[in-house]
Amino acid sequence: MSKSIDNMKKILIILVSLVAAFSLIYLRFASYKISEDCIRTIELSYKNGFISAGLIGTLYRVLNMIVPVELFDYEMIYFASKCMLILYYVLAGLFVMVLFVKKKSLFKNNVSLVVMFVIFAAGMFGCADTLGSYDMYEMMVLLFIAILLIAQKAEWLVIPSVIIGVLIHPSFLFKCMGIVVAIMIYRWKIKKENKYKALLIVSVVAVLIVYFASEISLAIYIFEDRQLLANKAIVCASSLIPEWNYRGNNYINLFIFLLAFSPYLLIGRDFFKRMYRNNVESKKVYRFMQLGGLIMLPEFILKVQYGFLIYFVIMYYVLLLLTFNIEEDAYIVSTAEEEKKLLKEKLFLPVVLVLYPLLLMPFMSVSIMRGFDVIARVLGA
Amino acid sequence: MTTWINNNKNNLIIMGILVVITIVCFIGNYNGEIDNYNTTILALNYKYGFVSRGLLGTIFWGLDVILPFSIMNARGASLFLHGCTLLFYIIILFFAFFILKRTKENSRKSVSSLLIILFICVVTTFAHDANLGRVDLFMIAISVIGVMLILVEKCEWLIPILTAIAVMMHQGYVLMYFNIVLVFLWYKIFTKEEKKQKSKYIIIFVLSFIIASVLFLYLEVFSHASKGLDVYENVANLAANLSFDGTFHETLLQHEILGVDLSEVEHGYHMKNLAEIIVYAVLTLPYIIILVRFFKKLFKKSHGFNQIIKYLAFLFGSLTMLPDFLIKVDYGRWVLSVTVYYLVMILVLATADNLVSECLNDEIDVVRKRRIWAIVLLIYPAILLPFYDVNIDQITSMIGHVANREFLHWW
Repeated sequence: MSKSIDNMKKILIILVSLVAAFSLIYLRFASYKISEDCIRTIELSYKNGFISAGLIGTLYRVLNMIVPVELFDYEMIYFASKCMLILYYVLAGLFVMVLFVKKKSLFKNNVSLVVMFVIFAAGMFGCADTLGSYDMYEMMVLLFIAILLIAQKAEWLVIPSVIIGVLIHPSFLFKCMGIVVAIMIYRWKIKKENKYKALLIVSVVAVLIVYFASEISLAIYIFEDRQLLANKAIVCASSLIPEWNYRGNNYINLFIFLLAFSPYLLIGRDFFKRMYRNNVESKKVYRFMQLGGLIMLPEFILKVQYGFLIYFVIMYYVLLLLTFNIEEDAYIVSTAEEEKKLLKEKLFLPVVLVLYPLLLMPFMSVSIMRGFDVIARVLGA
Repeated sequence: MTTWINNNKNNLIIMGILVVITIVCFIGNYNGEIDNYNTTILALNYKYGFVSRGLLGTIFWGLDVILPFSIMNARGASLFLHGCTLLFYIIILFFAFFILKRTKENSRKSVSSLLIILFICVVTTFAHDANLGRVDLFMIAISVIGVMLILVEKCEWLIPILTAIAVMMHQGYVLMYFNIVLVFLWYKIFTKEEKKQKSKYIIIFVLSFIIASVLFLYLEVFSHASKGLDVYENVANLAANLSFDGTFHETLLQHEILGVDLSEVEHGYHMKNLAEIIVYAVLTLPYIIILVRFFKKLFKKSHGFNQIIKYLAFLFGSLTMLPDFLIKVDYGRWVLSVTVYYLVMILVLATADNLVSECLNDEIDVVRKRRIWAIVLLIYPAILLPFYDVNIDQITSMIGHVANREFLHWW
């Protein structure tokens, strides 16, 4: 009885801390407006055919038909986006709670990693550049999938969830599928749970079908609507040209960010090196997961929203590490312990490593950080 | 060289952390814009008489005369203020190293934690467009230089001069940051046993106090330009030239040049400030509790009249800010000054006073035992800051705004 009361007390403390952390971090970074780019997420809908990135717009239109209030004005779009942001925070909080419920001891040992997750999760999507963006919805789906996989409950829901993710925006395939695939491959290959093989195949096939279907139908729509294939080229080119102008800004941003983030890159490199030194079986699987973040490479080459991309790369590794710790992976846990011990010995104040990400947040859309944009402008990019 | 590096290894690591924090905090809060208050102040100079807040503008004007190219334009003003901010960061970094060098091994972690909080505090605040290049950074720098001089007991005769410079930059120095120097001088008076040394500090204390008071009274009451309206036009034109968007801070010029009383204009902000300070006190309650426990411990362990009188001054030194809190409205700046006062004083006394260092270590050890609290307390300032000017910070201003709209209806 007293154990369960103690448990309830701990859960309550975590809940209060999460609410306080999310509220304060939101208030710190919120800009209380929504950008034009983010408003455009509701412009595209299936009214014009099965086009890519049309799901959010379609759902918003349906909602507009149901409720007696006109939803297509700035205030209502801002309000709706804020409601979705709260839902995103709830999902992130739920993810932390699931981690706690699943393995209390590991949660305690990895409290720094959990704090870092909260900082990254809460610091994003509150400001004008990111509120109501496709990436916010994609992240919500990813968190939902992560909760299902960690809780190991109703995992069949992963399949419709990934389909919804790609329907929200095709970039879900590159930004979020990496982590889903990594967890499933881990469970299939390392934990020898064969149901994940089936789940993995069905999820990937479903995602690919939806991805190509929406991309192809977009081409058909443009072709039919404009009558001339040439127009498609013009439309594509006109949307790409302004994006290419951001390239210089992107590269400067990325360079400064890598410099600022280098302590974690070094720790990560050291971590994997140490792990492989410990005679890891199924080295290929771990190597695959280590390099899984590279799935976002096409996005880095073709797109310009480096702020979002960096966010998803970081989330890939944070979520993966948290999952592996919960899975009690012998190699990861023991290497993490070694690494932690070493950092405590080497670094004078290791707690600074947890504080540091907060100074880097929030990531923006094209610019990774607000100040990076100024530097890029000064350098003429 | 290698021996020096080995001896200072831990200090250099902490300095590395502080440099990274400085760069990242600056980049994270910087958007390349300067509030027109900070460019307008550059238009005030002694060409129009001994006006208040005129020293910085006079230095700027002097530079314009010396340099082979004109800096009396927006780009020049921007470069000057960016340069001043950089200089301030260098002084604060030097102060950090100075403190670390004098810190005993057992207090190094406590001192480093406080330095990190101090850096997050000042770097974020002076990188934000509301305060980039604001004259407050000179006031902090001067006080910090003052306490360093007292700590090394060299060139202490410079303190009255530095005080005069600070008051001429902004008379608010007397209430905002002069307490740091005064309290430390007070501490020295009651610490030194040798009569000659004691007298030296009494003279510096009295002289600095008189200079600050006389200048404060003159600049506050009598310093407005005699040919107010003519001067106003000239200064306004210059001030408009100094900002990129051609605007200037009208109320600042009206107050400083024409002597217009702004209390009625500012009245609306008082209630806002009151709501915000309550919210801020609630949000920073963990730090307030730690500070109260620290002082409780300090007074419990102290004995003898001299020690108690020193620590009483240390505890109540920030009360010099009370008139500003009651009369003026820039609560973001007032709260910054109180925060900087306690941080700088604790840091300085932790190196100079064994009892302070002992109590500080005890208190930080209690926090560090609960790991999650240590993380949260270090992260917390990065969430709350930067400080603004009239509004304390983004979080308190937002909570205050919503509380007023929904429940209070104070403004």
